[in-house]
Amino acid sequence: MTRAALDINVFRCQGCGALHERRPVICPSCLGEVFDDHSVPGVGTLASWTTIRKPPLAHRGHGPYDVAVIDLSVGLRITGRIVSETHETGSQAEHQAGLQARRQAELRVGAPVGLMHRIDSGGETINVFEVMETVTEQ
Amino acid sequence: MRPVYISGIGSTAFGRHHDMSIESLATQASSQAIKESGLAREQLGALYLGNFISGPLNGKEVLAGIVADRLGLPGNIPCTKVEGACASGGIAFRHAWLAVAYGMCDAALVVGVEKMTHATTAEVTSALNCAMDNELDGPNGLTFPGLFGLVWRAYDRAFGLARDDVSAVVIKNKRHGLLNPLAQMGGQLSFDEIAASAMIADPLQLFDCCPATDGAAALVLCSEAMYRESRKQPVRVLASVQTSGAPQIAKHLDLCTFEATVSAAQQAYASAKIGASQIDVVELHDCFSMAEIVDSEDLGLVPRGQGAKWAAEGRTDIGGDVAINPSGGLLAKGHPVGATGVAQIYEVVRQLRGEHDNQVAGARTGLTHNLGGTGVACTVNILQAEQ
Repeated sequence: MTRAALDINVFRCQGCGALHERRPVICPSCLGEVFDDHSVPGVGTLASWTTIRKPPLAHRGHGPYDVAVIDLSVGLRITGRIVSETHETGSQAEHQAGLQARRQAELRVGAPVGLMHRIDSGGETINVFEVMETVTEQ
Repeated sequence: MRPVYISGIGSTAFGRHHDMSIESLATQASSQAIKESGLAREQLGALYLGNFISGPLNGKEVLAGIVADRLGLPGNIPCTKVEGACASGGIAFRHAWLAVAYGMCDAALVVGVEKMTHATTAEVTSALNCAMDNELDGPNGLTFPGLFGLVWRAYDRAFGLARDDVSAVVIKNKRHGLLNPLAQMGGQLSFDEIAASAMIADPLQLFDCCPATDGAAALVLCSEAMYRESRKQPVRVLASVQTSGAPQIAKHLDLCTFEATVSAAQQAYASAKIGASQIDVVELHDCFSMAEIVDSEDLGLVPRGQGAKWAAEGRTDIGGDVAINPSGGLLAKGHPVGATGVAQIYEVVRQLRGEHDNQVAGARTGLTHNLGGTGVACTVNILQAEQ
């Protein structure tokens, strides 16, 4: 697996250098108010994940989907979505028949992950990661 | 700061109350508590009402003033609705405690209430999701069961945790629920039944999750001079602590612990001048089976990594080292979210009076733990029966 991971845009406080997933009004570390757009490699490790089978109303059309906590290699922890290749290509029947077991064998805490695509969900961007054996930066 | 006592308690049954409004549930529980306290309504100097989602699910707000009106309380006292997600009730209790402890009034009423069962699962999930960081976690579609799915996998990685390990907590609390006449869904469950239940947020399954619940619980708090009106054995509030933690999942660098619980417990033990080993009975926030495992460790009751093992060995059962959730907990008694923090204290007071239906023999000191949102709000209280 050598597909390149996408970059992810984060915000760096000009005052203290702290990284933030979304642009804050003030930096909770130093109360700074100026932030630079900062592109970092969308690579890291999987800290945990879960499959949401009872989604809230706003995500009812998405389920089931996997939400993950990702530790980006730049030292920022974020939440996002995660899929595996088999999950994306498997049919619904395959999925129900036992794909779940294969998928979970591949997903594991500590696995290397990369940002593979983004979903626009009602104006919000969802970062979608995949587990990769070899993660390369873009 | 002066001593504060709980002189009256009241509660509705937990479950479905389709024939009662949210105001009626709160009024019924409150009326019981006031009557039991032996105080006249004119002696109450404040009302604090814990509620989380009466707006989205019932289209009703200003419940504190409405319930005061239904109860015929004096019109000139402050009536305040308090919100802190699933810790709303615990926070309301603490504010009533503050009011009495610091002399703002000599007696205060606290009531927690929620009405949820008329709504669909998706509506309830969406309403509860108001307590998420919806700038950061919400957009990904995370839910509260999902949070504890994340916790489970992180905990498994750190300590090892199998399906049946977690089921020990479910089996214990469901069994306790059978002995609590107020409980919504006690049960005698097997490991196989739990493992066969529907997946909700992997690895979390149906029986790992508390139900949606209608219900209310109420307490009257008062000064030493006033509790003498009560015919019941007085229970003293030794400590009442409230803390905050990160609203965002990603700010929890260790997913196997909630800092707000650890901090609240440490402050509560210090304030009460007792250690965790002196606690006889605990009602803690088992919104999910996995939560009880983490909470019991965060509260210092069980060593790290041992939460499930202690449940499996009966060490957190009645007759064990420390009885955890003899009421059935949120898993079996139910979780009317804004009522839970008050209901936990109701249960512990009954234990300390020696009148509980699932009594812990000789219980003298009890602890309650109420956790809101993603660990964003927490209260821990330590209560003791007066000799």
